[in-house]
Amino acid sequence: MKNPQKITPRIVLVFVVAMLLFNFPILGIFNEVNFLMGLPSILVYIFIVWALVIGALFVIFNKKES
Amino acid sequence: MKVLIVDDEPNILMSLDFLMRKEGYDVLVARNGKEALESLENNEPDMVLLDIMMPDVDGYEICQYIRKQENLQNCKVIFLSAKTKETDIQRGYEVGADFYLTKPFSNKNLIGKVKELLSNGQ
Amino acid sequence: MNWGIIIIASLLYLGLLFILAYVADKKAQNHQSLINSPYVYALSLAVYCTAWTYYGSVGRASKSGIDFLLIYLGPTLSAPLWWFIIRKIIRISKIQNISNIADLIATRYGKSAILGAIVTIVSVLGIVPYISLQIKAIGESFSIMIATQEAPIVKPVYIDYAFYTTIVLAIFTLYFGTRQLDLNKKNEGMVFAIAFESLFKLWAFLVVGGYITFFVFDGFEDIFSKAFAQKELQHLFTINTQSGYKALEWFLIGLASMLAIMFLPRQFQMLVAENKQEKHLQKAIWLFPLYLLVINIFVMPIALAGKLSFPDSNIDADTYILALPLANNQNLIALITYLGGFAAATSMVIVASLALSLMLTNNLFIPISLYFSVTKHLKGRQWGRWVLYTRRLSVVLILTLAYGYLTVIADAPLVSIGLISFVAVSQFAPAIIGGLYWKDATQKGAMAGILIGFVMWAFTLVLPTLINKGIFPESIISEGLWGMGWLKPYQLFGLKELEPVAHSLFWSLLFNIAAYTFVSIQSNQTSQERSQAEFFVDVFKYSNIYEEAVVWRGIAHKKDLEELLSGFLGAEKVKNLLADFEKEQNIASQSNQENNAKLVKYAERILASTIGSTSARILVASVVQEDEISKEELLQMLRESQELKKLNFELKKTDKQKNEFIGTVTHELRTPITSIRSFSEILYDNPDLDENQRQQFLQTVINETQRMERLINQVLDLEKFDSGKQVLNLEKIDIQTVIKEAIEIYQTVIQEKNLHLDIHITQQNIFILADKDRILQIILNFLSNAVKFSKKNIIIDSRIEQDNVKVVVADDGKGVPEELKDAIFEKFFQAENQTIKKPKGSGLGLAICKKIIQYHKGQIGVETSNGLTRFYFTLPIIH
Repeated sequence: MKNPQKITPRIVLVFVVAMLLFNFPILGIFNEVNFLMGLPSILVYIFIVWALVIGALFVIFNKKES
Repeated sequence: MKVLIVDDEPNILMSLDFLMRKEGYDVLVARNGKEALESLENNEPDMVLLDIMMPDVDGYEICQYIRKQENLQNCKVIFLSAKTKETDIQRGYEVGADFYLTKPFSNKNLIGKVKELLSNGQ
Repeated sequence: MNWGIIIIASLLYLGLLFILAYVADKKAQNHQSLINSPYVYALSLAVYCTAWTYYGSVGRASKSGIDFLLIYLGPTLSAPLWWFIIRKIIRISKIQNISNIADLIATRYGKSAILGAIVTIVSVLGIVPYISLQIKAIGESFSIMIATQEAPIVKPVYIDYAFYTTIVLAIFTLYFGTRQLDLNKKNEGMVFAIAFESLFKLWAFLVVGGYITFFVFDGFEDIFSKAFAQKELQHLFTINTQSGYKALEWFLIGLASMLAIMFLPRQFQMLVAENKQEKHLQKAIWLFPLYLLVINIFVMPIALAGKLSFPDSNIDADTYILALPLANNQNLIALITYLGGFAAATSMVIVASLALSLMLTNNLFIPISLYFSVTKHLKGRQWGRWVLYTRRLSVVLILTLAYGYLTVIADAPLVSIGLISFVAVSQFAPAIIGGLYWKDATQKGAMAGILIGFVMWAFTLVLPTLINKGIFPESIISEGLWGMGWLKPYQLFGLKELEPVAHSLFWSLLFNIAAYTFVSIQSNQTSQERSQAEFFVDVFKYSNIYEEAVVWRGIAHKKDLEELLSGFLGAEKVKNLLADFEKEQNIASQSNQENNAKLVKYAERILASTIGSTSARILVASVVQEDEISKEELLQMLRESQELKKLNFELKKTDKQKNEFIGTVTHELRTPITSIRSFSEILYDNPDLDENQRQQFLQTVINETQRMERLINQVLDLEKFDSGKQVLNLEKIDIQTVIKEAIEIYQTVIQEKNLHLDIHITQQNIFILADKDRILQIILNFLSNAVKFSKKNIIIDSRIEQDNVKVVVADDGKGVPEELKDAIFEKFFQAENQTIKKPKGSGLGLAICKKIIQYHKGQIGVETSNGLTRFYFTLPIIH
């Protein structure tokens, strides 16, 4: 088991940031009829943030404790 | 009859050397594991008195080495060790010892065992 | 497609499931767990993705665009929270034998049977429609597969097909889910099969998505640009924010799915009840959201492809994923897709019906039958069989209800019913999360919150569906209940702006939380509740003492408890269990009160593992007489148990160290004794030895005797340091003079051995506060080692480093292996678990040196540089 004291603040940070990025009003910024890489911008935005959140969680639990 | 004595304690080596010579055996001595292996390459002792805890190569490994050599088929091995736990003794027999004597030992016992093993081998 | 092929494919698929589950169960019996892996665990959580994901997402995406993603973003957002909430629940559940969500809530609030029953009823009412949704999806997909131009979709056929499938699923659930009585044992076969289903449905979805995107169309861009060219599809490219409350709606539905992923009974079953190891959660936290991301990649393209391929058609958007490959005559892909949807639906039906049946049995049927003494006549094994049959009957009951409900929901779209369930289980969230962090939350508060939330949910979401069916008059929606305008189900209290699901969640959770907090503040806890609140909130603090903690007071007779247990488990087994228990407890050493409390707890635990903790509580409470414990007493009791545990642990640790030390010392003593004995015998047996040899042997005996004496002194010395009895004579001394003194002592030895000594000491005085004799002892120890190992050179060096003086004795001997550099200063260095390769000269000398330096607040160690082995110590300088 990883050391909870080290994990906790990082997890909270990821949660708060993800909460902000996946909700309005920030979501509204990308909610335009625009295309990014040939795809609707809102869809691209959501999937990229989604992948980043997963990546952040992966890093938190796989980081070597020094 | 050739006896190889392996022990890293010079005083124990000295007493064993005296005892074996007095019984009329030719004696080879090794003060550590490496010396023992060297000696085994150049000689074919009939008996090895083997300490276990030694700094470089330990007694178990030496015994295993002996059991693998074609030319040492008839060589007897007696462990002389301060390790007295059941598991250590068990392991001694597992690696192929003929007998396991714990330190301190009585000279009579040791000599008796050496004689017995060497006469059986004939 | 030929219906025979589809049925054979479905049967083959189900057969495979049975085989997988069977193999996993067999392996588990041989103590090889196939589910003891974080990957299987994460996959099993994907039971979240039901037929609704498979068919409904596409349908919803084709109607309202991006919105469907919220159902998957919610779980992703809640995954980080699992680290707090689920980890805690897993720990609590493992300790307290909790196996379902009703049990969890009931246990937290004083093992209240009524609360458990309420949660069970809400769950059943909330989830059964969701199960029937899956059955409907199975039937519908089948009828689409066999539909032809001449005979389009025929209802009776799919109803029949769904019926037979349900029976097979019931058999699977009964066989792999309700075979063992012990709730602590995992249903390995079922979990393994579900994990496989998750993998399969993902694969199938990717196959069909890839086919539609890259073969029917020309990649993502192609689909999106073609769709964008159609004006009526453009609205799908953004989130529709026409309603001014869209931000709130978005948040609320996201919240519902955040809560659902944790508190849906089937999720709880997989997340908590079937969890093998707590640490598996760490991988699942990122792996499960990854699964959700991947399974959603092709949803939007499929939806648009459907819209583009079937313009102006009456094909239901929910079935695009099947209709597209069929329309392109890709029967194999259609079949794979169909089986993927079949996997999604069956996994949900199996797990949900199992989870609900366990709840029904433990939290409704058993408490009721206890209350009415239905089971009084049951003896021994009969009881166990009765529990198992009740569980099986519950599975059948749940599936029958779900099948019966089919007719009610026949025309509803897939997604809305799923969301209705989400809102239902969201009602548990305040009581659960509050219960994990708020000690003062009470049973009455939890009950008030859940009940009021449930009523609001039923009024705002369930009532309208019944009105749809014509069971209640239409006027309730348009004019309000009893004609009161503020009681409209979709516009409660005049709130018009939110869509129904968000509207319902908003009001129900608001009232739920308000009632929960308000009533909790106003009401008091019983002592049972208080102790549970302590355990839940501080579970990480108390989890290791739960077994020993004594927080119970009252009168209990062993005979009564024994009788009670015998009724369930058989007299023979209970006798053995109690005998084991007493042996472990060392009963004689404890007070009567302690015995009583532990016995009561033990009995409760045994019972809880078959009938859940609430029912166990009812039973135990019926045979013992309990006293109230105040909050202060409770905390005191917990603290005492904790201290006791700590003390025991320390004692055991010191004990072990002592044994190791004694082992080492006796071993060390054997070597000189061996020489002494051997030489004494030689001298005794050989009176005719020549004088020189006699002298030599006697000298050896004397030397070895001195060696023993030294060893014994060292042991005593170390013992003094360890026990803190060692007294140091601290005085201000010049380290240089100590070094010089040491060199003088060794001068002759060094000369005799023909070694070269290099001395690098400064002329200035370096003062330290130290025990002079002890420091001298260390330098002499270093020197004696150096003399023993050195080939040619010995160097002594003292220098100032910051506020310390560093004294080094270096030699050019063969050195200390890197991995032993710390070990040689330990007194247990030769203990059993260490390497058998004995380093030369490793007595207790260095261990004592280390102790001395520690007493002086300095540091000691050995380092290698330029082929020199440098033993050093540092001590603080005084100015």
